Amino acid sequence: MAARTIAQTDTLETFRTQFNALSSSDFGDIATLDSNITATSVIGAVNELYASIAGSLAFNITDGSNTQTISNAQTMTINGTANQVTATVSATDTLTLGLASNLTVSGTTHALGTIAISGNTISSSNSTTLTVDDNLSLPAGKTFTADTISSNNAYVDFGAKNLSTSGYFYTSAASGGIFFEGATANDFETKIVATDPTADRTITLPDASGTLLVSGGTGTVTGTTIANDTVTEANMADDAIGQDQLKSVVTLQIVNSSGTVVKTMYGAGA
Amino acid sequence: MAVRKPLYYTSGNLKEMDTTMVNQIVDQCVYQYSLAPSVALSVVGSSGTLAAINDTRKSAGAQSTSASSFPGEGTTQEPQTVTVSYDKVTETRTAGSPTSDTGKTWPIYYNSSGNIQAMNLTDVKDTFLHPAIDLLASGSTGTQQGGTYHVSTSASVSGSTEVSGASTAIFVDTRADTGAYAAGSIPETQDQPTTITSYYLHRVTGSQITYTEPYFLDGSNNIKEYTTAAFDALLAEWIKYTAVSSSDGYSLAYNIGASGSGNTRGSGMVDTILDGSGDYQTRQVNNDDYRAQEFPNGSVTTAATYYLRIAKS
Repeated sequence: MAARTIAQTDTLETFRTQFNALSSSDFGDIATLDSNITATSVIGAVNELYASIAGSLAFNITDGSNTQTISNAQTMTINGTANQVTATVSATDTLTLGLASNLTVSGTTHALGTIAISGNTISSSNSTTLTVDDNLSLPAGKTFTADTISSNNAYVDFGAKNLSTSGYFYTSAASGGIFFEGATANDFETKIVATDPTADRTITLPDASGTLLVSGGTGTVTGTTIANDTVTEANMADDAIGQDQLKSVVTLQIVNSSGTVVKTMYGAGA
Repeated sequence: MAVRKPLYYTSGNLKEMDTTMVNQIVDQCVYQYSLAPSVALSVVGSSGTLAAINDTRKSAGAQSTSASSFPGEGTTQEPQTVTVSYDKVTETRTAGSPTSDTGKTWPIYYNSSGNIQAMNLTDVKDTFLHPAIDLLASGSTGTQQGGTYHVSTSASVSGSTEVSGASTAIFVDTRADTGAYAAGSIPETQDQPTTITSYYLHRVTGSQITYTEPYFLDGSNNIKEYTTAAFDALLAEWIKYTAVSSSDGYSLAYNIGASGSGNTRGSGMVDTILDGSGDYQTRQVNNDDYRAQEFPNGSVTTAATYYLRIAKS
């Protein structure tokens, strides 16, 4: 809408039409003036409007316990607490509120959706399982404390890391034991299990290197494994000792009267 | 010659028997033999299998008679010689069937290689049987000759048993009883002997020996000690068999005679006789009955001496 002007050369008609247009279009029909405005002139309405606007430019801000009134021409400063909220004013007439990169939130319990952080406890409000969808790592020297460790696999994979405890390693139940995969990852493992004890038992590993003996093993026991003077008669299998096992073997033949050897006996020599 | 040293058990070891122990087994062979000699002598009435021996004596000659004068000495019969044959000893031989050597029948010994070997029959002969036969065949009549025989002038000899059981002499030496002849009794019975000596056959009683049982190989080729009964039985079988049937010069046999092989056993049976040419005696019964007879006279001489002998062959 351009400003209406009447040139010196314009006709009165032009003046009349411009005036009427000014009155109806530019100033408007007074009849349509809001009924709350009581003024009957433009100036009066403007003043009334000003008075009304000027009286309502102030507004209050509160955090629930503290209230501040922001009056016309006053400036509201938004300052985020360090490590909490950031406020940035930019053109045009833009206020950007953000969270600090390193957010510090005071208080004891904080919920992120269904995840609650309370003190040093993280929990889920809708599940008994808190899932960390990524690798979980504790820095050196930190302790991971758990009463129960489970796995989505058949076993908990500790990779190439050693398991260390200054306490005891327990397996429970009838099928509990220790599996050794061995050098080749395949379907075959070695399992160590315990026969159901009927009393507390202690199996002590000797202070020596070597291979543990099992009943199914063959060719494992050497002379150095056996303490001197400990193999008794009862340990010997029947019909097990041959001449080759005798030291400095000597023979005694039993010969019949025809000179035929009917029996040969072997004994240890001196 | 393979004399072995059987093994016996002592203090947990098998040890070789010493000579004394082996000899005890030899003596036990003799004892086993003595219990039932396989070469046995018995006294029979006549026709014994051993040679007959003769007892000779003088008897008076037949009387001569004459109605006019005494018959001359030259025409009177000289004393006669009476001969009585004694053929009263019979030898019976019973070999039996001894146990054969199975290869493990006999005692064991350490052979030259130090191994244990069972004795064979040759070893047993050389070690036990032949030495036992040697003892049996000796001229002695002690217990080591048990089961063999000897002659004695006594019907009872300690350590021996009179064979007949009835004091039956196997030989009687007689001579003419010169005292029984008298001129007044012409014609005297020509043969009026008197017994000088009777000879009896005796068997030596054996003596049980305590010996150490040797060891042998049983059926499983294990070493085992003989029971006394088992080893005695083996010894008995084989000593008796050897005495009868040895082919090695160790069978036994008896002979009787003035000469013969083997060792004499006991008293020589002496046949004595008077050596006189006759004691010419006369008797006048009446004037027409003149009688003469020559009675035995002279010194006692030995006609023969007979011996019972035991010989190996």
